[in-house]
Amino acid sequence: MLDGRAGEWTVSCAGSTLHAEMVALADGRLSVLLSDGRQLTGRVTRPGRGEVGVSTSRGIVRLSLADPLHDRLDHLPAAGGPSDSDEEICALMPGRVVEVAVAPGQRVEMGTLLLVIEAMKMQNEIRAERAGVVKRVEVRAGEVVEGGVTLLSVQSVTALGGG
Amino acid sequence: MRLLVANRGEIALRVFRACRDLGIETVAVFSDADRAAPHVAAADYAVRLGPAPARESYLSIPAILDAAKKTGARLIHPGYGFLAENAEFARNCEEAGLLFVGPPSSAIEAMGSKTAARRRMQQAGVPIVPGLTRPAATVGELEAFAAESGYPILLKASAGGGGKGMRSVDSKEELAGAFERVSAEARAFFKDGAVYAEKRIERPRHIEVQVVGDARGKVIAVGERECSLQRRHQKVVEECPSPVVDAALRERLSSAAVAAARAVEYRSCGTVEFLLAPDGSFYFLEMNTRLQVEHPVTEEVWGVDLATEMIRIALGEPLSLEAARLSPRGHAIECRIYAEDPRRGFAPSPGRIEALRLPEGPGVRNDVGVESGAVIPIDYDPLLGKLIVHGPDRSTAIARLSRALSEYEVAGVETTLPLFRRLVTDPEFRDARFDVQWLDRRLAEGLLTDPEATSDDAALAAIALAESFPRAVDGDSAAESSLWRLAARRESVRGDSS
Repeated sequence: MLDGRAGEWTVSCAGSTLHAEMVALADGRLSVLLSDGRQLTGRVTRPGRGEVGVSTSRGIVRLSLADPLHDRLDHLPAAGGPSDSDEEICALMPGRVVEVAVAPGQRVEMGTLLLVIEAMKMQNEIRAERAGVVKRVEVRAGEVVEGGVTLLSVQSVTALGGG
Repeated sequence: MRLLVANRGEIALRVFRACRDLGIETVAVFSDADRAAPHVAAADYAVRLGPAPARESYLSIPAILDAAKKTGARLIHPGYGFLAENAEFARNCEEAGLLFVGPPSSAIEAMGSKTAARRRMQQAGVPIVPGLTRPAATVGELEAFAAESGYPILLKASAGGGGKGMRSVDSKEELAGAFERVSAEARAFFKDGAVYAEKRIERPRHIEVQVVGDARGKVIAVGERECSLQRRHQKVVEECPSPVVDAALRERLSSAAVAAARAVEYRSCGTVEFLLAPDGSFYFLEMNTRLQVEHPVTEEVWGVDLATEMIRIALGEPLSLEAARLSPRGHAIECRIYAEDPRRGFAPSPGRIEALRLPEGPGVRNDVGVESGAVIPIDYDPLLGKLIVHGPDRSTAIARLSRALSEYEVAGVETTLPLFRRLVTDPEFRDARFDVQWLDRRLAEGLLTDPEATSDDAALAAIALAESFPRAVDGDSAAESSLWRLAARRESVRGDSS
């Protein structure tokens, strides 16, 4: 499990937590400096759906991503590729809906603002990750939501048979 | 003076380096698959041979001779594989007035027929593996031999070599069928269906001796190599010296090798292969009338440069190596880095090399024929290169090999690197307790297992994936991603492993 932003992370694994700072090396590998002083170097690749390859001085190991997220990662615009499932945007922690910026039936593109949620004293803009049409909006501005609640769903363009 | 290498990849680069050491200009030849290959980029001259298939390029004698003519190359080096042991090619070069960097075509021919080679060795007093010295015309002849020597026996293609066209026969019942199959394979691979038989030696080691001869008839031996680590008769790890050869045995092996080379009036670099039985007796197996893939381990230990020596000899110079002044220093190990997938039975793994990082430091040598970004074509042998380590003794060499393997990275294609990483930790490898059947047996028993992922691996993966998520498009918030999204990412990168 990890938490953080732009190069600085907190990593928790099997009961222990460390702070990690990451830089990218010129040849594409990563160097991670852990708060216990250890330095990790490796190259991370995405050889296939749900798979992650990590190449270090010990060789290459293959990890697989636990559900449900491997879908989410594989639907990243950068990864490309069509998808024929709806995307459900869920509240992953409790928060308050500040603004609902779209309505059902509305066409959205990658980056279109969907909702603004306030959580942990920060305003968070939730934007569409790919083109589609808003299918259902489950919440209203001002509403407080629990973790796990579906906020809205977007049907991808390709599922509609093309843009 | 210009030298054309009728080959590609790491051996072409190796020979080009020897040329540069000698101040000789270099000529590369290439197929359409290799226009952007490193060996072409390294050469002073380059000529296109034809389309990618070897038969239309690197095996095309007319195209190669034309290339020599076009560039004024006087010397031709065949490398290994391709036309290196093609007596017709050597003859054509001789007839065209070119200097073939290798033995006379007569020597290639003499050793090309395994049965003829065995007869010559017998005459020269070199011990041969017990068996027939002429191809068997009928199954009856094979039966008679087997009845006398006992099973198991090996059926071998007379025109074969390098472990191809061989079959073991354990009983009389299998004999007729095996004879059919080996003949058919021999016809298909070598265009000659002649088959002979040898007694199969149990748990032999493959020990080969490097020989070098000059035009004046001087022939010397430059130590032996241990090449028992083979996967389906293909060498994967070679060493020099052999851990089981002492000075006395080396002396006897060297004498036999020199006698073998003299028997065919050998010139240039060559290798005489022997099988060493557990009881210490040894037998001539075959002679390779070319520079071998594993020549670097001999170079590192004996302090010689075999590629430049070959070129000098081809130019008529006397041997620069004096047997009396040569002495071995330390131990060298070579690993052949093939683009093969160990998890899929070592099937070739063509593709693009996304990243290549080679090890360096004390005792490390890389003879590599590819670069980062290179596409490995399917048309040729998938050897990316060789990793050679040297140390004052075998255990230091192994320690350096471990270190070098930890620095070695090939991304984008699968390689044999996991095999070597596994070997260096194996007690039997470390104790040199192996024979030619050892690696196949250990692989079948599950030598290779997927490496265990650690929490460090998961952390690297998690951080890399989280960093790669698209940011909010709005410029201001791009710099500091929202905690909300990051919470989503936190969920998403939990790896499967501990």
